[in-house]
Amino acid sequence: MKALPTKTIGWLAPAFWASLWLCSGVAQAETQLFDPGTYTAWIDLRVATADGERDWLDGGFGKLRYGDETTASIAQAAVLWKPQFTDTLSGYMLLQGVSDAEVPLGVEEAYIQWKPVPKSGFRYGVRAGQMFPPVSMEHDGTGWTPSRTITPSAINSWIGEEVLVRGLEVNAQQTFGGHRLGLTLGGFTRDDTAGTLLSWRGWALHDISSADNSELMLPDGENQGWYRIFHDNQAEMSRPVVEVDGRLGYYVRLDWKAPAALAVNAEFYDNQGNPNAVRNGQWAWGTRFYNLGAAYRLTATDELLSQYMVGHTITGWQVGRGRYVVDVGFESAYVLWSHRCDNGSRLTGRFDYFAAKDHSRRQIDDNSETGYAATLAWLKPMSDHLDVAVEALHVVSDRPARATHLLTAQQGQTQLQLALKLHL
Amino acid sequence: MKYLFLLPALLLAGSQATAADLTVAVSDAGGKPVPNTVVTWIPAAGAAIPAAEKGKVFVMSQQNVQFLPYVLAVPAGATVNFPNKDRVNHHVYSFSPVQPFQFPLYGKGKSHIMKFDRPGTVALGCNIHDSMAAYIRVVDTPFYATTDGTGRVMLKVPDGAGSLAIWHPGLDAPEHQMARALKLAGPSAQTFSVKVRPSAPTAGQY
Repeated sequence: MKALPTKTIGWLAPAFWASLWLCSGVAQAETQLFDPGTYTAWIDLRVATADGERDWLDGGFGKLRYGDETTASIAQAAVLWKPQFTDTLSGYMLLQGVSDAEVPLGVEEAYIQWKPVPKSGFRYGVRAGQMFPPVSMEHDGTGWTPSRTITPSAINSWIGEEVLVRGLEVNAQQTFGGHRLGLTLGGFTRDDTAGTLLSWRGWALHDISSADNSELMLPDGENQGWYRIFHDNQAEMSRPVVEVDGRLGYYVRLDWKAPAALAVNAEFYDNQGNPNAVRNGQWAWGTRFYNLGAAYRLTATDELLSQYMVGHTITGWQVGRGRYVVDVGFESAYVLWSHRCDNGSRLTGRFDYFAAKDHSRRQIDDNSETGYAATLAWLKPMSDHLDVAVEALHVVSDRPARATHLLTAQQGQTQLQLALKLHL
Repeated sequence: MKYLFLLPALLLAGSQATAADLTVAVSDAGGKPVPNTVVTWIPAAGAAIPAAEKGKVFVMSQQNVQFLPYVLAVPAGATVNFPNKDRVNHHVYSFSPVQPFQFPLYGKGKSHIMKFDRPGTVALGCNIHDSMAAYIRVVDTPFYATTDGTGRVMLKVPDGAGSLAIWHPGLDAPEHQMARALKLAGPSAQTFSVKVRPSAPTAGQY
């Protein structure tokens, strides 16, 4: 896919909306913009305690949302608005507040979706706006939240922080003989910094997802690799939703649902970032990944989910042998088992593996790591307006760069969380 | 509540000279009961569907972003209510050749009705919520019932020859249906051991 200049995208957008409007035809249903059914809201009150190192939100290498602290906070306050413009054209916008995020208030996903009513086993749809590409199998709760645990896997935590894009996505599905095949194509801008945090901080497990204006803290201090290479050309906060190089990125996803208890998907993502481009202290990263996902329904009450991701990211200038000054391969996988209990609660266990391998300048900027995490969570809807969740998470990882914070490379950490989610 | 659907059959039975209790149990290969199976008895001599049976109240509600029930059996000519009991809007549709239709967006407390004249299967979906799925099975006989968690039903049917059929949306058989010819003279107990395809997981699908 060749990059389109951003100017072209600029004039394409109004034409696209106009055609959408025409295609959707005359609304047969009442247009519902501010009807009570179009919005919902919730507040996620969190009590957490964790041992171990300083968390990444505070400039450390800690892998979790909390580190070396006991705290109560508003993990997320959100208003989700889903207006219906016509019976097939709808909107989606999530405004969120996160008390421990660097920029607490912002717009997470915001898009317009056109979904014609299927007339046969073929169906299709289009969405355009700010959205997470469909990678996570865990975020099927309301408002892109994980529905089985409090903390998503390492893979999907990263999607939530660095893979929020602005673009256009087309999806088509065909059912035949009990099989369902799906194809999704997306083209996007504003995801040039994907890879920044994954390289310099490493993998993490937390449930803070980014918004349009988010700023994500890099490990602090002047002996960090990012500072030793880029000095003041790299901001100490990475901004996940910015366009640096004017190039379009894309993703392709295939889905297959078997006439059995199995569904699998495969995706390729490439932001086509120009590693030489930098603007306002934000470097463009050339980031690609493959993601494979599988869901298997064991029984009516038990399911297995698994994802595997492998990718590569580069930024800066070439340093020989085809390598860039920051040049990191990354890989992660999880297996999740979830059981729905008779009383409506849900018990879930997950095992995560994650790794990164640095291919250049390891003497001053070693971004290699390996790690494992085990998560056990119990969620229960207590009433129509209150969900309760408890979670224990233990993570062990080995990252030589911790020496820059005078820590041993290997660190372990246990985090306990209690979440009270009050919702409309 | 689970015996309510047997009432019409019981009432009808009163008008027959001789009636047989036809008990049907449906289980899977592992012996587990199979709920949501529509059981029908079609007498060889045929049987008209009484107006009272067609005039009953049939409901396919939308609740907790799911259809309830998952399988609803109705006699041909019956009218089904589709109340939305959720806070959110639904857009119910079917593209099944038996009866394609759609109810564009409607909110809480609102309902639509639809009459189903042609026998067959009507697969339902919601254009807002892809994970919502249910089936209306339109039957051409007054003798029908749907299995509950025990996988069993009991029909009061007239003695004589006829065809006993079971249907389940995941039944691994042509048209998701299995039938056997029987000649009834007094009570009969029939069992079906079936293979039901599990529905694909909805987690993280797109």
